[in-house]
Amino acid sequence: MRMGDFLLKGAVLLIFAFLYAPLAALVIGSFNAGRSMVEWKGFTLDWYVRAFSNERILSAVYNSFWIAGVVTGAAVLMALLAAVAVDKVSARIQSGVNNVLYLSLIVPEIAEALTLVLFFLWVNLPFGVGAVILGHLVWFPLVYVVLRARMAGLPKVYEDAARVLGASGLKTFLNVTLPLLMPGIITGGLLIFTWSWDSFIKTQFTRGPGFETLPVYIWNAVGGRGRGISPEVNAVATISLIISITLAILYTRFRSR
Amino acid sequence: MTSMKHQRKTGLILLLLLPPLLFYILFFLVPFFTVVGVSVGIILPSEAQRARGEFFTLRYFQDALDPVFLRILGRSLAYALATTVGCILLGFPVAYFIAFRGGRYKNFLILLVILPLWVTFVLRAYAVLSLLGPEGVVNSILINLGVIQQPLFLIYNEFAVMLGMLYGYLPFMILPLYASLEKISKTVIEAAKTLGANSFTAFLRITLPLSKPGLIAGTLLTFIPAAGEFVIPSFLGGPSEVFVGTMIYSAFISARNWNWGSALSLVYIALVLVGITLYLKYSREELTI
Repeated sequence: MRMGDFLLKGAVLLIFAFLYAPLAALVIGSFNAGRSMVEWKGFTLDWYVRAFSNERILSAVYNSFWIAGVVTGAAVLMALLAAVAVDKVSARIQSGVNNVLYLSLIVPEIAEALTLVLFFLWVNLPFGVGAVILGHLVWFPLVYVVLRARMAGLPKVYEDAARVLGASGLKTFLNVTLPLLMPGIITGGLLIFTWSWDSFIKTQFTRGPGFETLPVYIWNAVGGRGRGISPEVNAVATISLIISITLAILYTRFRSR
Repeated sequence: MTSMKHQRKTGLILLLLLPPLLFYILFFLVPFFTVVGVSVGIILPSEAQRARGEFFTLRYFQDALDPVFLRILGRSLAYALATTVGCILLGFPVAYFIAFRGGRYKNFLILLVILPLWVTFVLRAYAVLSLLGPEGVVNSILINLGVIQQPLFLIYNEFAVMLGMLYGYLPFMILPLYASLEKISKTVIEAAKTLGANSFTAFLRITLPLSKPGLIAGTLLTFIPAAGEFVIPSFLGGPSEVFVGTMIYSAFISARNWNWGSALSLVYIALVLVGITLYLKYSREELTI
């Protein structure tokens, strides 16, 4: 029994090492003064300096940020509209709407991406920033799911009390419902921000030529066969990693509220 | 009076619900029907098809179903299956450990499993490259230790693709497994042991069957995307390693052959759907993610 426990612990430790070794290698490479990782030539921040004087990297980071920001704002708004409206309809319509909306979250991203490409070609919409944003916005049900979960746990008495005390529908929504939904808005917003920030497949299919987000830049710089490691990419990747981890930790913090 | 108020309320609900719903229908549901239209040439017919004056054709499906593609499809499904089995083998001990031995570190350990999922897939594939590549950490350690003189060629082969897939999809298996293991009441397992079952029997007869919903959810979450994966094979696979995902990608992005690409993807989607249905039927479980 103790032997079994020991083996289990060892296996779990190894598997966690497997999950983190590649990321660790990436981070270490970004601080190595040598160009390759074969030799450790001392600590340096040079690659970061270089990455941040590279126009292409800067514009990719900038694009990723503002697109994720716009997508988050618009997705939260749409999810809020849908979640509030659905609250007032019968249970049957509710579950129907839910099932249809959940589809966009379980379909593989590559299937979604190519359907969007064909649709844009068909109706003659141009590829580019607009197409990318529209594509990401299709994930607004992610926020919707979180908001609905939050609403299910909220007693109706607060809204009723506000109405009885004479507040209008809009006023009740703004002063009572919205503040109560805030934790859901924040966690849902963090999720959609991350999905947009991380999106590679959809972005790659719908972006126009010359337009890059961070994942697309990494793909173009080091993706494909025969292209090696670039310490500059390691540096941006490390920064992207830190941003993702910060978002994840914020998410777990707000979810527990 | 009440009916007028009721009407106003229905109107308000529609007003709120319509913008997000219409957006979703237009940019998610309609595009799915577009693929079907394109695959039979009703929408965006190719030059050749227009020259022949065909309004509707099954030519593209014939092209998509040729033996070369079917072999690639078979290989992709085999890889996806191997990935799923590998993820179960690696993921089960982790999920089990966190659920039953996690103690006060439970939340922290789960956070450690979730964190990699918040990092973009491209970056994770690149991370495997910086671990295994000719200039990567593994080679550097082995050379420094004097085990090898020349860097080993660890990437651009099947081993690297398999490792990358396991690395990419493992958290998707651990999370649902953990969720179902966590729900198992410890008293049930204790009861089995009191009634004379040893640890192994208790695991086989109680824990394993009760973790089935998690196994099913995890299998769906890994198998479906793994079958269409193209980021990992592109980063880590050799030139001969063509997968459904890489093929669809090149049909769309490089060859710009929409009709053929659509037919390819529909064959892939149909096969995945058949697989899921069969799996759910034989495991007699409802799909609840």
